[in-house]
Formats: sequence, structure tokens, C-alpha cells
Amino acid sequence: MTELHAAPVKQSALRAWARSHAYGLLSSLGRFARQPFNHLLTLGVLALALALPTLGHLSLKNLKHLSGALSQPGDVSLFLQSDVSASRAQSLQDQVAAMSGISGVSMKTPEQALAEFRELTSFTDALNVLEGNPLPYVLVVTMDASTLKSERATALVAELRQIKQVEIVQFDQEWLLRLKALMALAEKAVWVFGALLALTVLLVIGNTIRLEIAGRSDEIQIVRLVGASKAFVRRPFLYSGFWFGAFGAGLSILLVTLAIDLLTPSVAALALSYGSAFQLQGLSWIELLCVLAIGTVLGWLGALIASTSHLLKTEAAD
Amino acid sequence: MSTHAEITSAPNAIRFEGVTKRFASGFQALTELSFEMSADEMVFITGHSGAGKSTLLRLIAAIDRPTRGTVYALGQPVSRFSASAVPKFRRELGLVFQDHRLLFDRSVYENVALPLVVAGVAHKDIGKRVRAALDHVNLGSKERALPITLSGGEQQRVGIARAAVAKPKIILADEPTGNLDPELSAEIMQLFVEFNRAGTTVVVASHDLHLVRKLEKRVLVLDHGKLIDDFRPALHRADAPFAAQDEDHD
Repeated sequence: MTELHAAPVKQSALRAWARSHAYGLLSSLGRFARQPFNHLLTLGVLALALALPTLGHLSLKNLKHLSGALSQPGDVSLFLQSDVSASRAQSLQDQVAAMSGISGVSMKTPEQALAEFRELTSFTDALNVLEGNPLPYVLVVTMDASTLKSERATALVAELRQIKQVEIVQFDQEWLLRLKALMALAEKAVWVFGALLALTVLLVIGNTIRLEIAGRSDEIQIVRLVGASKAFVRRPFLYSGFWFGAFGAGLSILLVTLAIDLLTPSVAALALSYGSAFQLQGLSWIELLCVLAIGTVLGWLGALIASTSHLLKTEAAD
Repeated sequence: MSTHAEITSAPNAIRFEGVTKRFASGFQALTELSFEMSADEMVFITGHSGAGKSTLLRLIAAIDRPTRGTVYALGQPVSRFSASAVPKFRRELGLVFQDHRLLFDRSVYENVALPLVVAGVAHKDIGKRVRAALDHVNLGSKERALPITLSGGEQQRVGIARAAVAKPKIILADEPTGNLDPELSAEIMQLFVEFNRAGTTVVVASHDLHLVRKLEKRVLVLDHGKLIDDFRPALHRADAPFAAQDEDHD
């Protein structure tokens, strides 16, 4: 009786707020721990939805790494038309050298080319039969490194093709540029794909929390009657969403790591057969934290949407 | 027994000013209700079922809002509260329901602790207060039990412990003895009398006239949403409406 009728409940609002958060965090974790199998299916879906874009990102990261290793100074050979004179070739060399993104232009005279040709091939006898020198002037254009890595390279090659006196443009790195363009496209696709799967995570968690709220509507009514604020009612559900996101992300990291571990030996063996020391890269610490952060934020957001819509509905019913 | 002077000097705990409640269905639960209750009072609300007893309690607790008029509690216009002001006000109340409204997946202890958890009371203080409340309703030994294992009377005592644990200024009870036999009902009512003696305003809606009569407290009688009698035994002993048929009356 004396305890019961002691001084009314009074304390600092901040401490009460902190306690309410601790209550929300722990009670939602407790409910999670009590029925892990009920949640396993949901967690599996979340883990897959988060693992797929993560794997997409990792594939791209590795491809970029690989193509970076393949990049060499990109030389473009411009074979001029056979009737171009020495002085015209000279002025073309200056013209091309003045274009942006080019670090140097050297010229091979038909004589040099013929000598080279003689040296490198066994057509010496055949060449001797020829009356004149059939080879044209050749400009060897070297792009600077930054241009070669950017999309400017493709445009530059196209520009070189436009030059009237150029008969043939030969660019060995062209396939690499195409690969890079494809990768840029794939990167955008991964983003779109990732956004769609993020939406899936949001909807799955939102729906799970909605069901949880429906299952505990009596409890919500009772805590409202004993003076719980909307924030208090919502908090355990927000934390529940937080845990769903966090555990789903954790599980997805596990899946991705397993997948990388499974692929690493085969990739290393393949790379070795090409004489490369290329190794598959897994998730860095930063990326790992990103996946966790994205998972938890999506979980929290899904729960926020579900609980807000529920509270608005009950408000309307009051 | 309170004197007339004491009653009028006590501050108003609850005041109704021309309160009418009409539901969306068109049913008019309360019509032009006006009365006051002082802080030291224990008041019974009686009347036939559907007379508006529950509606009256729900208006005090800000669960419903009146169609017309104003409800004041603890000096504040409850019926004009914004939605965000209601939770804080509810923590000054203790609510008891006929169907107990317990959480059946939580222990007795956790049920009683709920208002303190909601108010953000420190863990160690919660333990002390919950045990005190449970001792007070003679359920000290049942704190770990689940409500489903308790009898109806025990469940209602858990509900009462929950209503009283945060030391509310007002306790509102809606048919708290509705499902109980007369002996248990008397025990339950005695708990409310004790809370009132300790300084809590107590309002009990009940149709158990026999029990109400015995306790000699103020009685508001509702009939089809209208206040048809306001009986104060301490002031108008001679006018007691039940005096004629009550042999035990002194």
C-alpha cells in the first residue's frame, strides 16, 4: 500500500525516451528469437533479394578490374590513301596531333613500312617482283591514357575515320572499348535491378510488419488505453523491421561470400591458363557495411510505411 | 463521512457541461449531461444496459468525443484535446474493463507493469511498484502466472492492479464485477473503496444495484442517456432512493 501510493511517476523525459527505445529494441528482438522459423522464409526472400544485386555489383567490379589489367597504350593506325604526298601526310600528322586526347602522332613512310614488312614477313621475294612501293603513308596515333579509359576514345576513333585522306583506321583496342561500353550499360542495369529488388525488400518487410501489427491489434489497443503515444506503439515494429533488414542483409552477405568462395578456385585456374594472376575479388569491408546499412534502412522504412498506414487507419476508426 | 463543506472545497476531478453524444449510426447515447465530481469522491454510474454508462466513461478517458458540450477532467478540457495530448492524459487514469483486457501472452507481472513501461519508469522501480500493486490485490504469489491460468476474479484483480500501479489520479471502471459472483464482486468493490480512501477519484459503472446500495457512495442514475437522479448518501440520507427496499440500511 505504501509502495503503491508512493510519489507519482516522475523522471527526465530523455531517460524515459531512452528506456522506451531499449524496450522497443529488445522486445522486438525477443519476439524474433522466440519464433525464428516463422521468420526464416521471409529472411530467405530478403537475403536473396539483397544478394542478387550485390552479386551483380561484384561481377562488374571484377570485370572492371580485369579490363583495367588488359588496358595497354592504345595505338590507332591511320593508313592514308596511296596518292597522298609526303607533304600532305606531314600536314595531316600536324592536324591529327592537334586533336584533343592525343599524346603523339608518328609517321611511317612507305619506305619504312616496306622495310618493316620485309623484316617481319617472308614475302621478300614477292615484294621484289613489285614495281613500285604499294604501301601508303601511315600515321600511328597514340591516345593519352585518360582518353583511352573514357568514352572519348570511341568518338576520337570515329573522328579519325572522318578524315578524307584516311583509307583505313585500325584500332586494336576497339573490342575493349566495346566491352567498356557494355559494362557501363550493365552497371546501369544493375542499378535498375537493384532498385527493383530494394522495392521488393521494402514490400516484403512492409507486408510482414503489417501482418505482425494485425496479429497484435489487441495489444496495441491496450497499450493505447494505458497512455502509450503513437511513437511508443510504432517503435517495436520499427525495430522489428530493422532486425528483419539487418538479419536479411547478414544472410545475403553469407550467401555472396559462399558464392565467391565457390567460384574463386575455378576463376583462378582459368586465369592461370591465360598466364594471368587474376583473382576474384569478394566484398570489401566498406561494401559489406553498405549492404548491411541498405538492408536495415529498407527494413526500417518498410516498417515505417506499414505502421504509419495502420495508425492512420485506427485513427480514422476512432 | 465527508461533510458538505469538504466536498465543495475539493477541486473538481471531472465535470460534464451539457454533454451530448450521438454515434454515427444515429443512436444518441447521452443527452445534455451536466454534473461535477470532486477529487475525493467515489461515484457509481448505474442504469439499464444501453443507458449510456460506458459511453460516459469513454468520454472521460478521451476514447470517444462528445457531439456537443465539454468534458473536463483534472481541470483540463479533455474533449478538446488534440490526438497527441491524449496519451499523457491517459497516464493519469487507471482503466478497468468488464472483460479485463489483459495480454494473454504475457505474465501477470508484465501485464501489471505495462503502464509503467509505457511511462518509461526505470526497471528497478517497475519491480517494486508492480509487486506492491499485486500484493494490494492479493496476487503477490501469481506474478509469474499467465492470465489464462487464473480465475475470473483473479483476472479482474490483475486488471485492477494494472489500473492502479502508476498511481493514477482517476480510476474508471466499467462493470468491473459484471461476470463475478456476489462475494467476489464485494471484494473487488472493496478494492475501489480503498483506492478512493487513499485519495484517488473513482468512477464505477455498474448495474449491480444491491452492491452499489451497500457501499453508500454517490450514485448517478442514467436512463436512455439522461441523468435522472444524482443521489448523495452523505448529504441526503433521508432521500435515499433505495432506502425503502434496503433492510440493511442504517
